[in-house]
Amino acid sequence: MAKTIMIVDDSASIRKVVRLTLESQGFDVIDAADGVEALKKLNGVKIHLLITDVNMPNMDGITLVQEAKKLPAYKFTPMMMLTTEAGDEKKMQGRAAGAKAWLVKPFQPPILLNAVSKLILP
Amino acid sequence: MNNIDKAFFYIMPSSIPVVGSLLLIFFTDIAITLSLFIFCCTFGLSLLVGYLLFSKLQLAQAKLASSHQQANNNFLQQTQSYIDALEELMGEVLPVVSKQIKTSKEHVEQEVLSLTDRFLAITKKISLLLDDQRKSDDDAVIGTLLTSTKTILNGVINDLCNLNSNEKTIFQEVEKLSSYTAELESMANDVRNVADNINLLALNAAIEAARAGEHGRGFAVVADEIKKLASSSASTGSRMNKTLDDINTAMASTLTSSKTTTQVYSKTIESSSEHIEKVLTDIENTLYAFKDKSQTLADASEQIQSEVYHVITALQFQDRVTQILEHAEHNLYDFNELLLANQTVPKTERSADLIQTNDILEKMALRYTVPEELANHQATVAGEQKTPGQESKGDDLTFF
Repeated sequence: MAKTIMIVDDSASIRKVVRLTLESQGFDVIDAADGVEALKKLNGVKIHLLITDVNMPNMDGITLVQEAKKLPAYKFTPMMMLTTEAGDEKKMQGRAAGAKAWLVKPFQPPILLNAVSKLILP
Repeated sequence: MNNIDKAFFYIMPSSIPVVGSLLLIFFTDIAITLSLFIFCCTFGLSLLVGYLLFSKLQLAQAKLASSHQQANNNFLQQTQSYIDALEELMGEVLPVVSKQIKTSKEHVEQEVLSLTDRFLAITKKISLLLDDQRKSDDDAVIGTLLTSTKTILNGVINDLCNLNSNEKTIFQEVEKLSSYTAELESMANDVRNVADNINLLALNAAIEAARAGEHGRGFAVVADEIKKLASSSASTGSRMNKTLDDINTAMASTLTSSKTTTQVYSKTIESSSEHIEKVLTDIENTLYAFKDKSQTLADASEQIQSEVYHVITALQFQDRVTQILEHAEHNLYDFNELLLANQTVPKTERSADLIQTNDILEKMALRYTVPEELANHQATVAGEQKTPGQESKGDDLTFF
């Protein structure tokens, strides 16, 4: 059965290219434009990985990771940040929130897929 | 001008007559009264001259101060009007620039989104085409098709060969029969020879019977019957010969016809085999050409995949551009708000403290999310003229 990945980014074009990259490898994809929309969609649906941008309106990615980790269904779901931010301070915030990886945009599809394959639990 | 200066103005001119009078008193014989008189007169005169000089100087100084004041006032007015004009310019220009940035951002977003959609559609179509191709160009499919076609066509050739072989067997049998007819012909000739000899014998017997006279009459009847038999045997032999001739003619005709048929069959089979072989070779060549094309297509599909990945990476420029433009827009907006807030402060109370350049720059820097933004900012603040190189190489992957 295909694994499901959620991509959260306020840029519609980023959501589309991430979707294309993941779907080409047989993953199912759910998307959301910000943290609030993402939490609304995380209503118990099984996801195997959450990929989120950091800077977004309404709710940023780091808060989203913190909030999602509070939900029992997503406590052990691997989460990864996909952002233009490359500063160590921000990375530490992401790590503290519970993210397992940090990928700086623009990403190359093979590198994203490599990160995904390492993060998704069998 | 302070009091010392004032005293200096009085003392300096008066000091000359005082010194002169004192010299007159001590070193000449002029009466002291006259000396005192001269001293008083010169001293008074000196004071008058000092006063006049001082008044003139004061007048000149006042005039100079007044002209300085005028110049200062003019300068202040000009500076104030320059600041007012600058504020007005900023107030007009900043919202316009903000609006232009916003529009550019929206355009970039819209167009890149449309570009991305089209690109996704093309990618999906290519992917479907390549999948179809992969299904049809399976080696096993080509192999099976070739083998089954070969089997069927070879079966047809075998059937034809069998037919030809049967025909040849018949031909050989007929040929064998013709050798029997020669034997039969010889036997018919023997019959005819025997009949001739019997006929001769009957003739001799009849002669001998005639010689015997009355006693040989019975024997003459027998000889006559034998002659009839011999004649009948000879006739049978002739008929046999004729029939054998007929059979030979028919067999020769059959043999010729059979030979021709066999030759035609052989030629037909040979030609059919050649045609079938050619058709099979053509099919094989076509299929392998097709397979080569499939391989080319498969190679192309790998290149396409790599190109698709490059485009996916390149399309993400919109995200960075949008963020940079958004921050520029917000920073200009904040700057404009600051100017508007400062304009509400009475002009007499405005000072440089209202504009904290470092604070503003620090606040701007806090917004940045793209490394190039920060690099540009730092380079510009440091006074560097050239734009720093592209910092956002991306793909910096860190696992925690």
